[in-house]
Amino acid sequence: MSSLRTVMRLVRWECMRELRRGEIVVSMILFALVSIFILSFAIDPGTQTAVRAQPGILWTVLLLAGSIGVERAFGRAGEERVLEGLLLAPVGRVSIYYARVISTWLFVAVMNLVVIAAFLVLYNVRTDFATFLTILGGAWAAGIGFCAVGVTLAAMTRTVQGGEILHRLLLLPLLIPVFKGVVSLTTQALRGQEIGPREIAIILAFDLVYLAAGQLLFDEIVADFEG
Amino acid sequence: MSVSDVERADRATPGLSPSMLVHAVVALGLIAWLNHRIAHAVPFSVKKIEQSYLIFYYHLPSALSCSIFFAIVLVGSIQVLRTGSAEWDRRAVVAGRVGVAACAATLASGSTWASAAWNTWWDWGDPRLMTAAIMFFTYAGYVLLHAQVEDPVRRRRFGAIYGILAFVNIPLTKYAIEWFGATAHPAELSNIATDEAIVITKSVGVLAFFTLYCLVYRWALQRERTKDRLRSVLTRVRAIEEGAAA
Repeated sequence: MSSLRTVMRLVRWECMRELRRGEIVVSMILFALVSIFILSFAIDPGTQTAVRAQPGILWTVLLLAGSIGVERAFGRAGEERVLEGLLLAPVGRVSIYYARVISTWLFVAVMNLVVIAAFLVLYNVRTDFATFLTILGGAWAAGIGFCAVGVTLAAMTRTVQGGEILHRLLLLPLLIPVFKGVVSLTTQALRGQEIGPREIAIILAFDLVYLAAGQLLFDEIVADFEG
Repeated sequence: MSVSDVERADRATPGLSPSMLVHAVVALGLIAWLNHRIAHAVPFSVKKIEQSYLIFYYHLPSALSCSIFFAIVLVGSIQVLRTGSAEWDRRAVVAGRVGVAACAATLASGSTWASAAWNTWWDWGDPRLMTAAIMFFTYAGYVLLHAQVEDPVRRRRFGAIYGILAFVNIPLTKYAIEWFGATAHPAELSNIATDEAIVITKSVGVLAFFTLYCLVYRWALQRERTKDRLRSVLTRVRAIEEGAAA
């Protein structure tokens, strides 16, 4: 079986499980919505300050909600040994890595779609469909690198006690560059400006660097579980 | 190995060896020389940002030292992944700890300076300051990860992996913040540092503090070696005892 087909099968398997239980996507979306409401109490959405802070609020929420999803990339509660099981199967490690990155990306992408739409409605942002698509496109593009590095870290921290907190501590500082980029992109989109080349460059650079680093380092992580 | 054995091994703290004592004397001597130069040799006529800039002689050495130690983390991490060496792992993690300490010293001295020079303790838009702060968090995470993984082989490997990721993050962060922000840092401190007396004092400062951080590094590395050796001895003793009991 070619590795591309292996990856697609693994992704489909993961999506089937998610469709049955809906645990990861639903908890990410609910967390994001609760956070939006909490932030609306902190910064009154009717004020000028809130309008300027909109990109920041949106992205803080997306970032924290997304970190819930990638942290569970290797198993929900009670499924701690999924990765060990996969490694026993006649499947390449690279396929496992990419399958996990793609399935996690799909979950995060669905969450992005729902949350960005909800945010624009709740914050009463008068905007056209093209702007919505631009912001969503930025989120989906940045999501690639986000999942690439998040999945790699999740493979490590899931073996550590209290790994959930450690996962966020390790992940968040690595996301600063892309966070800067997408916040700037969203600001431009909401103001109706042209998207700058630097925003696109930093998101692409982030994706490429962490896909490459993630794949190489994931190999090193699972080598340990096999040996 | 029982819990008390682990604790006993962790408490093992070797004293300073004779060569480290000499090292300590040299470091303190250099710092004394630096202070003497700051007090008497630096010409006050060339200073541009008032006396507050004098903290520069403590700020810059810590900043340089922290970059050097973070580079050691990278080298150590690559070596660990290549060879699985326990010694390189110790070097890397001790360098990480000393680097985080130097980074904290850089941030604290820089913040103090900023309060006088920029009239604010923290400038959220300044790329260098923010990059240093993010570096502090990433390497603190590295040290934390290393401390939390229990299995030694896994600890080595995971530490090395994050040691590499942390380094990859530095240029990305730097460019991201530079592109989307503006700096208040004195563009090139070499601009005000053309005077010979300042250049010498700056070099003395770098030398003095790097010597001091190296002493801490050596001492911590020795402590780590002793700890690991003691742990393996205790494990073997327990195994023999259990064998005798059975």
